[in-house]
Amino acid sequence: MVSKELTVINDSGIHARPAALIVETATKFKCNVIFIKDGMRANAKSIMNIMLLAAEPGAVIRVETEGADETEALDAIEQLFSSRFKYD
Amino acid sequence: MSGPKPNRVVLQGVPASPGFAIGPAFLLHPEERVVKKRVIPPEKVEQEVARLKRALDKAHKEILGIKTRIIGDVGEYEARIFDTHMMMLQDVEIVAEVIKDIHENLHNAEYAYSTRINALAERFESISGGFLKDHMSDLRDVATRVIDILMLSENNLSYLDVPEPVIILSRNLTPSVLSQFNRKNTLGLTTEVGGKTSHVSILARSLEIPAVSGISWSGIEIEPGQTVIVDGTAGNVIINPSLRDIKEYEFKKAAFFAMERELSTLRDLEPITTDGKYIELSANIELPIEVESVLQYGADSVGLYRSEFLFLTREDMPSEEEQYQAYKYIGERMSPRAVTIRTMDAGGDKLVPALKMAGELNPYMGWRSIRVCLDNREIFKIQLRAVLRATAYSNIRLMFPMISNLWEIRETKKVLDECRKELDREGIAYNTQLEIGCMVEVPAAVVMADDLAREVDFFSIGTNDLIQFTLAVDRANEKIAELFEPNSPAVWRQIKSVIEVARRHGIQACVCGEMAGDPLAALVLIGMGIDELSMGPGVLLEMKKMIRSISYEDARICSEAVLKLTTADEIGGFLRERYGSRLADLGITKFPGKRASQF
Repeated sequence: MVSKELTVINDSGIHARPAALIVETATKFKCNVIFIKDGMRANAKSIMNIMLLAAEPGAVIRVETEGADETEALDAIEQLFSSRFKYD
Repeated sequence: MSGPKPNRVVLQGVPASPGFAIGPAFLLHPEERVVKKRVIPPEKVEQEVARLKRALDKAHKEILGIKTRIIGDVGEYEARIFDTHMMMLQDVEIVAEVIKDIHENLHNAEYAYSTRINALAERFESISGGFLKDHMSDLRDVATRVIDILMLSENNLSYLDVPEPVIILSRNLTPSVLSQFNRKNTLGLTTEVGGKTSHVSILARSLEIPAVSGISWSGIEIEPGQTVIVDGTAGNVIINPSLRDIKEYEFKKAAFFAMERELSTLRDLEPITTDGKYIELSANIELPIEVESVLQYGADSVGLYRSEFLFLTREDMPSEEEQYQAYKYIGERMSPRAVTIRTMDAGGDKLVPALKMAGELNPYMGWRSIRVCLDNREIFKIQLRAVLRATAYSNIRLMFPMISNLWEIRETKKVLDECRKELDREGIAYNTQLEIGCMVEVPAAVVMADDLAREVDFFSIGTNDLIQFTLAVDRANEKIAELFEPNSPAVWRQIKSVIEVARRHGIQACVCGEMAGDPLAALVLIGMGIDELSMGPGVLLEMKKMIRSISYEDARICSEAVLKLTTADEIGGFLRERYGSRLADLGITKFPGKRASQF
């Protein structure tokens, strides 16, 4: 398992569109991708789980990936965060 | 009634089935639906899970369709929300929880699903600051769609048990759902998707239910029971009509019925041209009960029985015995008149649940019709055995749909022979002289008609598919509905060549598509030498009236002129100029198909 703490740096937090991008990215990988915020664990392949984290701007999320392609998955998620979820 | 008087709203759609209806609204897709909790038997758990998965697939396809439309109409950016919708729909956690609920608590799929969504909605609400508030409605929208599909596309007779005559307002009413309504209580209907040639429109015309398609009532306030007028002739819908509207439409309705009555005097007259050529007039039906209306209109035969409707409304396959009873019933009711049974034409917009047919991106060119049957020979043989057995009692003919090459017809005949041998061994009777035919509805079959003719006893030209494939126009796509042009010279010339081939080989040629039911098109078909026209029962009498007013010689000259013209506009214009006013003088005004609006 690898993990990293990532900060939400876009202007509006993880609402529907960023959540969709996260799911889209996580689903590309075989490994499990888990987001943890304030002790709440969310499956990053489930859009409802991600949205229910209600991650507002500035929120810190611990991302854990576990499985064959865990490193690539973590990198991809990190890139998504640092790109401010592409559009937002 | 208390409160302010609701607003009168007029909506313009596409006329799908002629006639007028006034009555209370029945909303097939209300926003809030009462989901009942049922406990399913443990042995049906897998079936229930499969039902859920099919509903999710179907919802996915519908949303994809909306997304595509929005991209075209508004733009890529605006359409992005539908990606989110599709993800909500396929959310692994939701789906897993719902399936778990079905397995562990034996809950029915709609209950398990709505319970899960409600729980999620509560958690959404509890999140402070309204951060996710906007997305609540997205989730609800997706969930409503799934529950709609679960409650409507499957056998759910209790839900459809409407106690009084109503007008059905729907988004996407399928033939299988419509066929579950009591005909007596169905005054009229509207649909949002589908055009004049969609199967539900064809069924509405056959059942003589006034219908308008292309009516979107999202965003329009309407309560169940509010008065609605459906004008299936002009394609209008009036919600909360004024007294004046009601008076006007009561009058129109009465005039329409008077016209229908006048036509019924034609029932016992022969469909014969002024110079003595007899044109066999037959009816297209989808349900055994329609035989009654076929007889009422004095048809010569059933030219097309769409047997797939036996398969559409249920989870399992109808047994050989069940099919046999249905075929035997139609055959015996029509006897001594002929009945042409078309084998299961599944696929396209007619998915058979028991075959687990997935929605395809290009369904009309996909896994459908004879292709499905040849891939599922055991199922196919059950149907063929049932038909063969029924032939022992009446004048039944057998027809195979969507044949596009010789291999298919030869292979099909091989399977039929296997069935004959089985019945021989079992000592079961059937008609050894059974006539078999194939539909000519794929351009490849037109090209190969000369060779196909050696394999069969008759041809039946399916114009709906032939037009769709020849012109590369998806007939379910409203955006290109105007391109679906029956008068295209490319279509007319193919039809002529098929009729010629049939004549050369001494086999019968029939037309069973929508064109056969359009008086102007029928006139040209007669001129080209067609033997039989098969149409919705509701247009039979007008067609007879038209036939009795023309001479075959005149029709022949007219068809020759049509074959020389090079554009659809020229052909349409020529026919209207030459015959439009003459038909109007006969009182023939309700034309099915595209040209209705051009008159």
